[in-house]
Amino acid sequence: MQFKFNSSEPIYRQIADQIEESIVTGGFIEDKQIPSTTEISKEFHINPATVLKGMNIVVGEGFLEKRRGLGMFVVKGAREKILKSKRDNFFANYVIHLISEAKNLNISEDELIALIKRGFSK
Amino acid sequence: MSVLEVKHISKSFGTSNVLSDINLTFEANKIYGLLGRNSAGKSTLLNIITNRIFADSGEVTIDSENVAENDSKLGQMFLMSEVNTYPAGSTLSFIIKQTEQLYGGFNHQLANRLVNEFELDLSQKFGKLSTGYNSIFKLVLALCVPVKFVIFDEPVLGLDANHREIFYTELLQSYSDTPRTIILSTHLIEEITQIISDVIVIDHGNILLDQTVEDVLSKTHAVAGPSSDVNQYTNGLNVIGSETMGNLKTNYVFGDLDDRILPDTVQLSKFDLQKLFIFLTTGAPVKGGNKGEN
Amino acid sequence: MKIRQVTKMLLTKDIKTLIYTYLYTFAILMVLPFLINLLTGTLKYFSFTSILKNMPFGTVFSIYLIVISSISYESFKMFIQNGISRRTFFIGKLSTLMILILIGDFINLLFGYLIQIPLVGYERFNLFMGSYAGFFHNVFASVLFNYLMSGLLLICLVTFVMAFGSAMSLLSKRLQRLMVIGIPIIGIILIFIATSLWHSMAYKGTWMLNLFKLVVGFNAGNQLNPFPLISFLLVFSIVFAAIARFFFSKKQLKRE
Repeated sequence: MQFKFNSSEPIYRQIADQIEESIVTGGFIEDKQIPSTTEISKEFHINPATVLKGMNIVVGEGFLEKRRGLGMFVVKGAREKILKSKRDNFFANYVIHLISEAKNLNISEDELIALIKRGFSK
Repeated sequence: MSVLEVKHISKSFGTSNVLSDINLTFEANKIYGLLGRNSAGKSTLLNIITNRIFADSGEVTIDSENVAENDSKLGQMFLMSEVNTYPAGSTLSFIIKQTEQLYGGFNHQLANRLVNEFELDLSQKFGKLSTGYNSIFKLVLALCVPVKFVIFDEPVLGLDANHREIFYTELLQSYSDTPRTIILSTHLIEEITQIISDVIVIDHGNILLDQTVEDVLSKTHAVAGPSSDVNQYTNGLNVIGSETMGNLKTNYVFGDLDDRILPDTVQLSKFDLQKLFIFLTTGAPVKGGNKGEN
Repeated sequence: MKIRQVTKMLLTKDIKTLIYTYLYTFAILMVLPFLINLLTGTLKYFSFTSILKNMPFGTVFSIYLIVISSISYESFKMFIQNGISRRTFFIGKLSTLMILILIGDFINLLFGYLIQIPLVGYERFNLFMGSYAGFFHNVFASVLFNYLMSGLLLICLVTFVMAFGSAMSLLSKRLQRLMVIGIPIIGIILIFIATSLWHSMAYKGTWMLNLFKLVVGFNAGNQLNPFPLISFLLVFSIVFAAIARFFFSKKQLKRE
């Protein structure tokens, strides 16, 4: 996990994103417990309430579940769901920016497609 | 769930007004950051809260009961401060014993862990401690007494980076184990920005800011771009500082942006609490002018 | 209640000091001359009883009381750090001094009755024995009132010093130093004026002399009555305890 403390994204939102990211990369494994609020709070010196707020977002999205007396666990199938939502948001999150930057640099549609192909062939 | 309230506190030393009609509420189990420049009135305020000195007017209450000359209320607070209140000739373990007797409890388990982590020697005399270990010893006391309000005035004075790291980690661990209200008064703003949930900025004896960190940060906007575009965009907004480099300008806005249209040439981002603090407390009234360069 | 903890804490510290004070007194006045005489081979001039007779336990205890009752700021700092109010600190301090007086007064009398009277035949070992003992015909009443009057005298001393000391501790360090130098000088001048006034008035039966006679219990017979003095001492201690309490309530942490 890493956080950008002066990003425009509030810290609790970053915590939610980082937890999801960790689930995708396999840092947090499905059906297994993730670190507690206190552990994350201590590790990154973030107020526990902020950490909890971030975690609760992920719980609300259905990727984490609270098991009473045990802690937070990654829901089965969460990784696939996160991947899907990331794919769904790929256009909005990346493609739009890519194209707007390309336009700023006077890169044509064909040139951009060529560059993307080059990237894939590497 | 106890609430500590500061009501209409004013204080002057001789002719200089140190605090003017201060009103604050410290809620249960939150971590507050109390920020202010040197001699802004922070220590005076904390000394008044803990009844070490008297205010000229106003009162401090815990759960609506005045704390002045009130053992049970005073016993719910611990102020760790720069001033040395312990006898120089006493050993650290003796001071711990006395503290335990007077507060009616002490978390020895935590104390032992902290003593090990900080490599503190309890057989030393209090007066013989270095600045760093003087702070460390008081931190240990503050974290281990059974109080509802733990107040730190310059907690990391003289601590090296490693020891500061241990302090923040242990503070959060202890807070998670035993939730209570914590007030951190420090100059190292960047180190505590994420730890505190609420921030209070005091300047020349007045409260400039008393809000949650989340709200405060959501109102910070750095507006960067060509000088004229930036000025036009921020016209009428609360610009608290700016920086210029050639024809490029950044205006720092504190407050909500309205629905005005952002020109393509202008970029928006956030800025951090430390920067906000500097702009708010730099003294001279802030105009849109060029003052970031000095 | 925190008064108990505070008293216990102060008492533990002060009793330790008291024991050391007695030990040092004994060592300096008894052991040291003995050793010197022993080393110089003049042991025949060493008189155990004459030294014992002049052993100033009473004076030493009074000086000890003056010292510990005048110092309060260091303890105040420590107690306010630990959430103890000025009121509790004052009551704890006063209780500590009372308990110390109960002990010290007892030791003084024990020394007087058991050592000074039987061993060295010194009967007038304190104010009461010098002036009031003859008032009582019952030995137990005499001893009891001796204990009471000597104790009250010490309580007067302690409350007076506490009032004075706590008032002083409110001043800045510089003013304190000025006072330490100034007050004895003013005191000496006042005593000088008072004695010269006294001499000029002493035989004229002025109200001051009458008041003095009343307080010390002078009556037509040649035996002084202790009860007026006891009442006076009682009122004196209460007044000065109240003054000390007032100044204690004004204590604040100083800016260092």
